[in-house]
Amino acid sequence: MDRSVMPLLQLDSLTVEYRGDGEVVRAVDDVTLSVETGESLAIVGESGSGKTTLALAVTRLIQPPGSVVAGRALFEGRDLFALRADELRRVRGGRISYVFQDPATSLNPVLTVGEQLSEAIELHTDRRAERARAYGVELLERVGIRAAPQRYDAYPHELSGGMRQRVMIAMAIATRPKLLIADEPTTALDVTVQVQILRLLVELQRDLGLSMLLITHDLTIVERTCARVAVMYAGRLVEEGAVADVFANPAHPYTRGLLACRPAWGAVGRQLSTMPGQSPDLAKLPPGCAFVPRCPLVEPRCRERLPTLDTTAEGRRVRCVKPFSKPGA
Amino acid sequence: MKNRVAWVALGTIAMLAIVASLAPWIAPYDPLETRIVDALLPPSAAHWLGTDQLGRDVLSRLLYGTRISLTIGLLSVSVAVVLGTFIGAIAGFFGGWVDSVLMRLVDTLLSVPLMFLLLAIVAMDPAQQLLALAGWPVIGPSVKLLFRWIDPRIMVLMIAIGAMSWMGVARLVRAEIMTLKEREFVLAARVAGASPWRILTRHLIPNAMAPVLVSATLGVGGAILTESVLSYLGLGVMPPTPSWGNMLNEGRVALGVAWWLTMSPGLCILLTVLAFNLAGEGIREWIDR
Amino acid sequence: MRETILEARRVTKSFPIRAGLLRRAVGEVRAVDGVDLAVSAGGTVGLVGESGSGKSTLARIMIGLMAPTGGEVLAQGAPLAGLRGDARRAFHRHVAMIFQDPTNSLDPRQRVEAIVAEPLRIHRLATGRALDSRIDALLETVRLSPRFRRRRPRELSGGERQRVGIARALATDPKLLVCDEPIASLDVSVGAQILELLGQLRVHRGLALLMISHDLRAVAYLCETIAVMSRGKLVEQGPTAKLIEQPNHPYTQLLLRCASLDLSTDLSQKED
Repeated sequence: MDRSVMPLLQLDSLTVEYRGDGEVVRAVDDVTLSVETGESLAIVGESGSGKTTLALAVTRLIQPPGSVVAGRALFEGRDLFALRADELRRVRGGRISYVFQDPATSLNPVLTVGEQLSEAIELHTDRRAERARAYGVELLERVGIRAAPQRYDAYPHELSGGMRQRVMIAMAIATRPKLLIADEPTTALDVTVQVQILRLLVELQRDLGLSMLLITHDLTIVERTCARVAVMYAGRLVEEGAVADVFANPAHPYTRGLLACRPAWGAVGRQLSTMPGQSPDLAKLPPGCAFVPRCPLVEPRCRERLPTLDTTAEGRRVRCVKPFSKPGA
Repeated sequence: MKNRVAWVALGTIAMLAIVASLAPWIAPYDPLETRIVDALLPPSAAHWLGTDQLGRDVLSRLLYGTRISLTIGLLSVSVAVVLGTFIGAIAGFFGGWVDSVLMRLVDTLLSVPLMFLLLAIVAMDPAQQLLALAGWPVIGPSVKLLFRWIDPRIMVLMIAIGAMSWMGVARLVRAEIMTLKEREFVLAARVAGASPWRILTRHLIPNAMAPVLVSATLGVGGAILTESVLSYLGLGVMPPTPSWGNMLNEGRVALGVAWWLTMSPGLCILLTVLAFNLAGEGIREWIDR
Repeated sequence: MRETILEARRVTKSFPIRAGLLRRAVGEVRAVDGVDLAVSAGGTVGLVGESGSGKSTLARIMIGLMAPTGGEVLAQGAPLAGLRGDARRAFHRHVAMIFQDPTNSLDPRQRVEAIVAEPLRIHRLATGRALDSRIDALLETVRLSPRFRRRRPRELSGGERQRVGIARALATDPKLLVCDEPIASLDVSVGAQILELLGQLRVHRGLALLMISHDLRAVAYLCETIAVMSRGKLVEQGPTAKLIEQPNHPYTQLLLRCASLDLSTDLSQKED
């Protein structure tokens, strides 16, 4: 690891809690992660894993009743939680951009594509009016929208889901950000459109030297687009490492289970190894490891104490007392 | 329900209902007994809320008046809800020309200035017509029984107020049903072979009642106010039967000297309508959880 | 030869496009265009396609929720449109459906036991204690304990709700189960459980399946035959193993490559 280069984004012990009805729920629990310049990191998890909350917490988008109760987020060396409101606004949308899941609700239906694009452009660059428009059209072309000048003046409802998502991506890269946080960017789209959008993201990442934090539940997407992956369960980080390594040799039983959930091609009717149970209720987490009810390798010590996140020799991080073990072994 | 205010409101309503039903037993005096010598007495130990121009005990009249107001409020809203739900459900469920026809009816009725219609109806003294029903062969006896329990005048009022408010309910129910019709659990019922009647009564209407419930509680407040206005104008409940509205009317002339004659019924109206409104809010919050 | 229990013959569904002040029909949209599709007893057919392919519309037509504008649907040889009374009721008993959104497919005001019992009540198949034990048996089949009986949908997780939906569908011992995107709204691990459950039901009960999905992998796991739809037309149909190895139609090839998220797929033909 090249220690002379500081990571672009460094999250240290980030913890987000939600308070309500007399209960406190830890949506994100003590997460430490980093994203290097030009790197793509995937955050994988199912519902309740905390992955979306984490993505929002980075730029302080968490609203009450949720709040960041511990940890810090260092972006380009500066703690985002220590910035003033105006400084933060320059970072958010400017140096860190977001792309969300549902383009239908992320775009304002009463404004044209151009009006929304130019809003982002004028907010974060010094381009105005004609120059903003020219730049906007250029962006639309860059993200693969054909007949860009006409589409610039179109309303969101006149565009297909895939095109809307491209518009979102155009808005996100308009400001030449260093980091793009994409939360389930293709989940609502048809599979052929998914491929197009993912390809676009990978190209942009390469061409613009963009770092990407990709939140998803789909392991196939991770395999095709990211270099590193972090797996979350019940708000905690349970595994992290290079995609190729993790997929070939998962350390945590949850990761192993997730990988096995995908039916192999051509396996008509063959036994599908499934993980029993479902994601835990964050308000009622047991002491010790949260995966216990579903884990095939449970030992008494798993229930006593939450395992620590340890780093292996190869640079893998795992939160398990028996990493790399196979059930039945 | 976590809303404390809503609980207080519900408690108030419950108390009113209890008071209303127990009026004959807890009223200290006969509400119709006049004692001119004791006229216009301010509140005292003997008469907690004083007496009116005819020496009648205000508190007792108020308690009996509660019966009338609550009955009118609740029953007229019930008429509105039943009628409105029936029509709204049919319009929403069947759609097409049935819906068009029914909704044009609703729109027409909504554009009629109903207060005037109401006044006209009341002025025509339909109670007499209703009483005539008592002479009819088959339904005569039941009508007579009904009129022993409820004064025909009040019955007319209730139906009239109900007839004024069913349109709003119909629209609400229609809108809910049209949305619910497309939900997958309705599709599931159709796939399982459920008849349209079953779908309407077991699935659609129960799920559509939530906003209706809220609207109904608000409606009770409105009905009570309408009754008060009508009685105040001399067109609702006729003296000597006490109602909050006509007590207000009678107390108006003595406003300068006997504040308790108007304050008492006025406060009752205020608190009751407020209680129903807050309860309605509370119910809405509970439903949205 | 296995008996054909449900068949679509040249089914077409058009929707008029209305324009102008008088809302006159100026054209039509063909959501489904001349499709032939058959499901045999115990057979499993996967209907795949992207949004706008017409697969959901076709499914709804085949199950009798919508009438076709052309062609016909045959239920065990008899035209579905002509079925009345007892025959129609029998059709509802024999063909059941589970839906995509487990949240919306259950009546929020009913308890689980009422939801599961409803088909039995509609068809008067059981009452009293017989009904009770049937409910318990159905819940057990979908691996839910009897304590779920008194719960309401909002107290259940997505996977549990979907299981209740399956229990309800199995109530009348149907011959065919139509599954409309059964796992699309569920977590990956939960979806795998449901897929596996459906696979078990197929094997143990000889249940025929018609699965509508955009998820080619899931369909390939569960179904022996796959039918691919695009813009209302059925472009290719055949045994799963063969379709995956050697797809004929370019669209099928495209879909297969995209399903494994092959980012090098040439999509220049596809307008978006």
